[in-house]
Amino acid sequence: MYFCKTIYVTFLDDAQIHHRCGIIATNRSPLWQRMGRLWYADRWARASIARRRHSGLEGDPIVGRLSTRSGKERCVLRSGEIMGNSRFLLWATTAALFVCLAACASMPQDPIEREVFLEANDPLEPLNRAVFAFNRGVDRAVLEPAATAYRNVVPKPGRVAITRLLSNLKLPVTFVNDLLQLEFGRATNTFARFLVNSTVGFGGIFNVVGTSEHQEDLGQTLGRWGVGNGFYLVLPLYGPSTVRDTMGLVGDTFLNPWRSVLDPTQSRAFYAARGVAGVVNDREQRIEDFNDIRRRSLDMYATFRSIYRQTRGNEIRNGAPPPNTVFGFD
Amino acid sequence: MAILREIVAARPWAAPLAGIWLSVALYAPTAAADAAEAESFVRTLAGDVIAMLSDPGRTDEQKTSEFRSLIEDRFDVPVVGRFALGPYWRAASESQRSEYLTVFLDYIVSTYALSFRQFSDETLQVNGSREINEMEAIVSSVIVRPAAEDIFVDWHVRNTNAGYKVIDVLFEGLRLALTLRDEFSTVIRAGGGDLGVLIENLRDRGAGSA
Repeated sequence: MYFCKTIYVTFLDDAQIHHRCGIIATNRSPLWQRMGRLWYADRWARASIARRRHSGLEGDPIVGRLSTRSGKERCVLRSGEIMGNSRFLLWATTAALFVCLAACASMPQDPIEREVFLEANDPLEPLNRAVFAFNRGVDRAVLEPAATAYRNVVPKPGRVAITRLLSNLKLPVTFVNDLLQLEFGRATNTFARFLVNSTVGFGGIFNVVGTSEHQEDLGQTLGRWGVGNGFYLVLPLYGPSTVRDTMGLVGDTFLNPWRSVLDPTQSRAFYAARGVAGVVNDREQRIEDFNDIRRRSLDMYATFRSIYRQTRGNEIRNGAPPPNTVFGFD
Repeated sequence: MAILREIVAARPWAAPLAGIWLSVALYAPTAAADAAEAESFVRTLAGDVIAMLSDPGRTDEQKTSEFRSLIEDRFDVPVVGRFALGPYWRAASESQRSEYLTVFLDYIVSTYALSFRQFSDETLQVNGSREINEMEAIVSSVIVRPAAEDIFVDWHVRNTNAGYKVIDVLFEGLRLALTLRDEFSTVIRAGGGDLGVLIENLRDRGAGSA
């Protein structure tokens, strides 16, 4: 995205004459203004391409240049690229608006209903349910068959090795978060595990240092420092989360060292492979749990919400007992 | 105890503090006795369940009905049921409450009896307990399964007039009563705040257990 600085766009028309389209955005422009100007620039570019084609010129022309005020070129755009970059934002804005207008469940008037509503802490429930249904569909169509196939094809020792390999890759993030949580004992443990398992243990396939496995992420660190869950969110494809954990998820991508170790193409392939393997491997381990929930639950959406929150609570407390297990009535 | 070790490993400075706390706690004579009683209660309960389930002479129907009477006897069903209903309990009428508690028990029996029915050579090890208050304790245990991974189960028990009763079970740290509460209140709210919707749902699921 090209939104961080003051940016001008110029276009070459069919006579190779530069047309300045205007300021696309400054870092103070509100989002809607950037969107509007980008849309305008895009129309201009498309018209320019059409004119070029009409006059019989071949090839995909350079239709625009993004430059800063000083004239330093930032980027060269080819046909359609302007909106290509901004279309995501357009959709995001529309979706956000839609969410705010349509999906926010309003606070009930009835005192008991209100209590239940607050306890559920799920103001986006209608939207979350839609995403949940989508995720369930993907699970039924793709993930569950893949996990079953994986279980049938790869024997147990192989699956254990893959699980270890994948969890070893998560250790750097865990290490940083151990430090952020001031858990120095755990941090040392994580560091040693990573070092030894990555070398002597062939990337973690052989779990040489078999001491307490734990996993930390930024969401847990935030929780440890007292940041509340925020309301519940179901992320597309990813699944249950909360406002806090979603923020943590974004932050964790910056803590991951693999991005800086590998070059962009490698890193993309690496993340894709790790993502797919992780998801399938994870789903394979949950086949029984999942079937159990499906059989028992009256409302799978609510069950997943409850389980997610409880699991996260346990993870944040690092196995310590919950502060309030006293059986409060009603 | 595993939890304790975990805490000590994570926060070494907590050990001396815990030592002081423990020495104070151990001087309270009722507390120590309660923990042992709670643990033996859980041991007996698990022994009874496993003995009943692994008896080849019993049919599935017999097992289910015995499972039901075990739960009625050892669980404080009204307390669990009331907690699971959440704020809606207060809004419910007396007849609704008793109807709900009946179908609630059926639901628990039919959904959980099914998953324990396959148990045969499993054993339950009690790993210790911690007190919540003078009436309640959480007993930690692990179900050792020869063919699969161990399951960590904690039992939240309360000392009532009629002896110890289970008021919550934590499977791998997930509170059964809390999960049910979240589920039930969502079902009722989706049904427009009508407890009848939940009762119908539970009745459907619980059919065949009575």
